[in-house]
Amino acid sequence: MSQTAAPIAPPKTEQKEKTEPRELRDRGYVVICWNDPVNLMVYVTHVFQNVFGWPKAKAEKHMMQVHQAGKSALVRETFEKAEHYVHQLQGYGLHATMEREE
Amino acid sequence: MKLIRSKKTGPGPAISVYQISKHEVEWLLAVLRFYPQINSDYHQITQGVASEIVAGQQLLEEAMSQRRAEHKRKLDKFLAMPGRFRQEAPDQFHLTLEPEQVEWLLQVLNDVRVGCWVKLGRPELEPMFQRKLTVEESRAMSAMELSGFFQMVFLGAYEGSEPA
Repeated sequence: MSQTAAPIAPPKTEQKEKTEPRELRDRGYVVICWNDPVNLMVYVTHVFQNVFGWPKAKAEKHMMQVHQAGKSALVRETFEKAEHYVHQLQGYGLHATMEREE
Repeated sequence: MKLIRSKKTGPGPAISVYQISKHEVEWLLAVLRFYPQINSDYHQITQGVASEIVAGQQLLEEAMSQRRAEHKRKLDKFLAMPGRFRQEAPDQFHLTLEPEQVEWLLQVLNDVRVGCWVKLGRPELEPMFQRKLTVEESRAMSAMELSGFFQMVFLGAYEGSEPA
Protein backbone atom coordinates (compact mmCIF):
# COMPACT_ATOMS: atom_id res chain seq x y z
CA MET A 1 0.00 0.00 0.00
CA SER A 2 1.41 3.32 -0.88
CA GLN A 3 2.26 5.59 2.00
CA THR A 4 1.77 8.69 -0.07
CA ALA A 5 -1.28 10.43 1.22
CA ALA A 6 -3.74 11.35 -1.42
CA PRO A 7 -5.03 14.88 -1.21
CA ILE A 8 -8.23 14.93 0.78
CA ALA A 9 -11.10 16.35 -1.14
CA PRO A 10 -13.01 18.97 0.79
CA PRO A 11 -16.54 18.02 1.82
CA LYS A 12 -19.07 18.57 -0.90
CA THR A 13 -20.85 21.32 0.99
CA GLU A 14 -17.68 23.36 1.30
CA GLN A 15 -16.99 22.89 -2.37
CA LYS A 16 -20.49 24.14 -3.10
CA GLU A 17 -19.81 27.21 -0.91
CA LYS A 18 -16.93 28.11 -3.12
CA THR A 19 -18.32 27.36 -6.54
CA GLU A 20 -22.08 28.00 -6.41
CA PRO A 21 -23.59 31.41 -5.96
CA ARG A 22 -25.88 31.68 -2.91
CA GLU A 23 -29.06 31.89 -4.99
CA LEU A 24 -28.26 28.60 -6.71
CA ARG A 25 -27.41 26.90 -3.39
CA ASP A 26 -30.73 28.02 -1.93
CA ARG A 27 -32.53 26.33 -4.78
CA GLY A 28 -32.27 22.98 -3.08
CA TYR A 29 -35.89 21.87 -3.47
CA VAL A 30 -37.19 19.89 -6.41
CA VAL A 31 -40.81 19.93 -7.53
CA ILE A 32 -41.81 16.48 -8.77
CA CYS A 33 -44.92 15.46 -10.66
CA TRP A 34 -45.92 11.81 -10.21
CA ASN A 35 -47.86 9.65 -12.63
CA ASP A 36 -51.43 8.56 -12.01
CA PRO A 37 -53.91 6.83 -14.32
CA VAL A 38 -56.57 9.52 -14.09
CA ASN A 39 -55.23 12.91 -15.18
CA LEU A 40 -55.56 13.36 -18.94
CA MET A 41 -52.27 13.83 -20.79
CA VAL A 42 -53.50 16.91 -22.63
CA TYR A 43 -54.66 18.38 -19.32
CA VAL A 44 -51.28 17.79 -17.65
CA THR A 45 -49.56 19.54 -20.57
CA HIS A 46 -51.95 22.46 -20.21
CA VAL A 47 -51.26 22.75 -16.47
CA PHE A 48 -47.47 22.75 -16.99
CA GLN A 49 -47.83 25.48 -19.62
CA ASN A 50 -50.05 27.53 -17.38
CA VAL A 51 -48.18 27.16 -14.09
CA PHE A 52 -44.61 27.49 -15.42
CA GLY A 53 -45.27 29.51 -18.58
CA TRP A 54 -43.50 26.85 -20.61
CA PRO A 55 -43.91 26.46 -24.37
CA LYS A 56 -46.01 23.48 -25.40
CA ALA A 57 -43.01 21.38 -26.51
CA LYS A 58 -41.33 21.61 -23.08
CA ALA A 59 -44.60 20.97 -21.25
CA GLU A 60 -45.24 17.89 -23.42
CA LYS A 61 -41.70 16.61 -22.81
CA HIS A 62 -42.24 16.66 -19.04
CA MET A 63 -45.75 15.24 -19.37
CA MET A 64 -44.37 12.29 -21.36
CA GLN A 65 -41.65 11.80 -18.76
CA VAL A 66 -44.32 11.59 -16.06
CA HIS A 67 -46.33 9.15 -18.17
CA GLN A 68 -43.43 6.89 -19.16
CA ALA A 69 -40.99 7.11 -16.24
CA GLY A 70 -43.57 7.56 -13.49
CA LYS A 71 -42.35 10.99 -12.47
CA SER A 72 -40.65 14.11 -13.69
CA ALA A 73 -38.53 16.65 -11.82
CA LEU A 74 -40.09 19.87 -13.03
CA VAL A 75 -38.04 22.63 -11.42
CA ARG A 76 -35.32 23.10 -8.81
CA GLU A 77 -36.21 26.07 -6.65
CA THR A 78 -35.98 27.82 -3.29
CA PHE A 79 -38.26 26.48 -0.54
CA GLU A 80 -40.84 29.24 -0.98
CA LYS A 81 -41.03 28.99 -4.77
CA ALA A 82 -41.17 25.19 -4.71
CA GLU A 83 -43.99 25.32 -2.17
CA HIS A 84 -45.84 27.85 -4.35
CA TYR A 85 -45.56 25.58 -7.39
CA VAL A 86 -46.75 22.53 -5.44
CA HIS A 87 -49.80 24.49 -4.30
CA GLN A 88 -50.52 25.53 -7.88
CA LEU A 89 -50.11 22.03 -9.30
CA GLN A 90 -52.18 20.39 -6.57
CA GLY A 91 -54.85 23.04 -7.09
CA TYR A 92 -55.15 21.66 -10.60
CA GLY A 93 -55.45 18.15 -9.17
CA LEU A 94 -52.01 16.89 -10.21
CA HIS A 95 -50.01 14.60 -7.94
CA ALA A 96 -47.07 16.92 -7.25
CA THR A 97 -44.73 17.09 -4.27
CA MET A 98 -41.59 18.92 -3.23
CA GLU A 99 -38.49 17.09 -2.09
CA ARG A 100 -35.20 18.30 -0.64
CA GLU A 101 -32.40 17.72 -3.11
CA GLU A 102 -29.81 15.41 -1.58
CA MET B 1 -70.46 19.77 -27.82
CA LYS B 2 -67.81 21.59 -29.79
CA LEU B 3 -65.89 24.82 -29.91
CA ILE B 4 -67.38 26.90 -32.72
CA ARG B 5 -65.73 30.27 -32.26
CA SER B 6 -62.87 31.81 -30.35
CA LYS B 7 -62.11 35.49 -30.27
CA LYS B 8 -58.47 36.31 -29.63
CA THR B 9 -57.82 39.43 -27.58
CA GLY B 10 -54.12 38.83 -26.91
CA PRO B 11 -51.41 36.16 -27.00
CA GLY B 12 -53.19 33.95 -24.44
CA PRO B 13 -56.42 32.00 -24.70
CA ALA B 14 -59.48 33.47 -26.42
CA ILE B 15 -63.09 34.07 -25.47
CA SER B 16 -64.76 30.82 -26.51
CA VAL B 17 -68.20 29.99 -27.84
CA TYR B 18 -69.29 26.35 -27.65
CA GLN B 19 -72.20 24.69 -29.38
CA ILE B 20 -73.88 22.27 -27.00
CA SER B 21 -76.95 20.03 -27.28
CA LYS B 22 -79.76 19.84 -24.74
CA HIS B 23 -78.54 16.47 -23.42
CA GLU B 24 -74.99 17.77 -23.11
CA VAL B 25 -76.22 20.76 -21.13
CA GLU B 26 -77.90 18.34 -18.71
CA TRP B 27 -74.78 16.18 -18.50
CA LEU B 28 -72.51 19.18 -17.91
CA LEU B 29 -74.75 20.53 -15.18
CA ALA B 30 -75.02 17.09 -13.57
CA VAL B 31 -71.23 16.69 -13.52
CA LEU B 32 -70.64 20.18 -12.16
CA ARG B 33 -73.08 19.47 -9.32
CA PHE B 34 -70.73 16.67 -8.20
CA TYR B 35 -68.18 19.33 -7.21
CA PRO B 36 -66.27 19.16 -4.89
CA GLN B 37 -65.11 15.54 -4.69
CA ILE B 38 -61.50 15.76 -3.49
CA ASN B 39 -61.00 15.87 0.28
CA SER B 40 -58.23 17.89 1.92
CA ASP B 41 -56.38 14.79 3.07
CA TYR B 42 -55.77 13.83 -0.58
CA HIS B 43 -53.13 16.55 -0.83
CA GLN B 44 -49.63 15.61 0.30
CA ILE B 45 -46.82 18.17 0.26
CA THR B 46 -44.00 15.61 0.09
CA GLN B 47 -43.13 11.94 -0.10
CA GLY B 48 -40.03 12.53 1.97
CA VAL B 49 -39.38 13.24 5.65
CA ALA B 50 -37.64 16.62 5.53
CA SER B 51 -39.10 18.36 8.57
CA GLU B 52 -39.22 21.85 7.06
CA ILE B 53 -41.33 20.49 4.16
CA VAL B 54 -43.59 18.29 6.29
CA ALA B 55 -44.37 21.37 8.39
CA GLY B 56 -46.04 22.85 5.30
CA GLN B 57 -48.68 20.09 5.09
CA GLN B 58 -51.32 22.03 7.00
CA LEU B 59 -50.70 25.15 4.92
CA LEU B 60 -51.25 23.12 1.75
CA GLU B 61 -54.52 21.67 3.04
CA GLU B 62 -55.74 25.14 4.04
CA ALA B 63 -54.79 26.58 0.66
CA MET B 64 -56.65 23.79 -1.15
CA SER B 65 -59.67 24.25 1.08
CA GLN B 66 -59.76 27.98 0.32
CA ARG B 67 -59.39 27.32 -3.39
CA ARG B 68 -62.29 24.85 -3.32
CA ALA B 69 -64.49 27.37 -1.50
CA GLU B 70 -63.64 30.02 -4.11
CA HIS B 71 -64.39 27.65 -6.99
CA LYS B 72 -67.66 26.60 -5.35
CA ARG B 73 -68.68 30.25 -5.07
CA LYS B 74 -67.90 30.84 -8.77
CA LEU B 75 -69.65 27.63 -9.75
CA ASP B 76 -72.82 28.47 -7.83
CA LYS B 77 -72.90 31.87 -9.55
CA PHE B 78 -72.27 30.21 -12.91
CA LEU B 79 -75.09 27.70 -12.43
CA ALA B 80 -77.54 30.34 -11.19
CA MET B 81 -77.07 32.76 -14.08
CA PRO B 82 -80.16 32.82 -16.31
CA GLY B 83 -79.41 32.54 -20.02
CA ARG B 84 -76.05 30.90 -19.39
CA PHE B 85 -76.93 28.51 -22.22
CA ARG B 86 -78.41 30.60 -25.06
CA GLN B 87 -80.87 28.62 -27.18
CA GLU B 88 -80.15 28.86 -30.90
CA ALA B 89 -82.38 26.01 -32.15
CA PRO B 90 -84.65 23.37 -30.53
CA ASP B 91 -81.66 21.17 -29.63
CA GLN B 92 -78.84 23.63 -29.93
CA PHE B 93 -77.44 26.02 -27.33
CA HIS B 94 -74.45 28.33 -27.22
CA LEU B 95 -72.20 28.66 -24.17
CA THR B 96 -69.81 31.64 -24.11
CA LEU B 97 -66.87 31.56 -21.71
CA GLU B 98 -64.14 34.03 -20.76
CA PRO B 99 -60.61 32.53 -20.55
CA GLU B 100 -60.69 32.82 -16.75
CA GLN B 101 -63.94 30.84 -16.64
CA VAL B 102 -62.49 28.09 -18.83
CA GLU B 103 -59.53 27.88 -16.45
CA TRP B 104 -61.51 27.34 -13.26
CA LEU B 105 -64.06 25.10 -14.99
CA LEU B 106 -61.15 22.86 -16.03
CA GLN B 107 -60.05 22.67 -12.39
CA VAL B 108 -63.58 21.96 -11.19
CA LEU B 109 -64.04 19.19 -13.78
CA ASN B 110 -60.67 17.70 -12.88
CA ASP B 111 -61.59 17.73 -9.20
CA VAL B 112 -64.67 15.67 -10.05
CA ARG B 113 -62.63 13.32 -12.24
CA VAL B 114 -59.82 12.77 -9.70
CA GLY B 115 -62.15 12.76 -6.69
CA CYS B 116 -64.36 10.04 -8.21
CA TRP B 117 -61.26 8.01 -9.03
CA VAL B 118 -60.06 8.32 -5.41
CA LYS B 119 -63.48 7.20 -4.15
CA LEU B 120 -63.28 4.18 -6.47
CA GLY B 121 -60.06 3.18 -4.65
CA ARG B 122 -57.59 4.72 -7.15
CA PRO B 123 -57.84 1.82 -9.61
CA GLU B 124 -56.13 1.33 -12.95
CA LEU B 125 -58.88 2.39 -15.33
CA GLU B 126 -58.68 -0.23 -18.08
CA PRO B 127 -59.80 -3.19 -15.91
CA MET B 128 -62.69 -1.11 -14.58
CA PHE B 129 -64.21 -0.98 -18.08
CA GLN B 130 -64.14 -4.77 -18.28
CA ARG B 131 -65.76 -5.81 -15.04
CA LYS B 132 -69.30 -5.53 -13.70
CA LEU B 133 -69.70 -2.40 -11.61
CA THR B 134 -71.96 -1.66 -8.67
CA VAL B 135 -74.45 1.20 -9.00
CA GLU B 136 -72.17 3.45 -6.92
CA GLU B 137 -69.14 2.56 -9.04
CA SER B 138 -71.13 3.18 -12.24
CA ARG B 139 -72.14 6.61 -10.99
CA ALA B 140 -68.53 7.50 -10.16
CA MET B 141 -67.21 6.11 -13.47
CA SER B 142 -69.85 8.04 -15.44
CA ALA B 143 -68.98 11.30 -13.67
CA MET B 144 -65.29 10.63 -14.31
CA GLU B 145 -65.76 9.95 -18.01
CA LEU B 146 -68.10 12.88 -18.55
CA SER B 147 -65.67 15.19 -16.75
CA GLY B 148 -62.91 13.99 -19.04
CA PHE B 149 -65.08 14.59 -22.11
CA PHE B 150 -65.87 18.18 -21.11
CA GLN B 151 -62.23 18.81 -20.16
CA MET B 152 -61.17 17.76 -23.66
CA VAL B 153 -63.71 20.11 -25.26
CA PHE B 154 -62.72 23.06 -23.06
CA LEU B 155 -59.02 22.44 -23.70
CA GLY B 156 -59.83 22.94 -27.38
CA ALA B 157 -59.97 26.67 -26.58
CA TYR B 158 -56.20 26.60 -26.00
CA GLU B 159 -55.26 24.92 -29.28
CA GLY B 160 -52.53 26.93 -30.98
CA SER B 161 -52.03 29.34 -28.09
CA GLU B 162 -48.80 29.65 -26.14
CA PRO B 163 -48.44 31.27 -22.72
CA ALA B 164 -47.94 35.03 -22.80
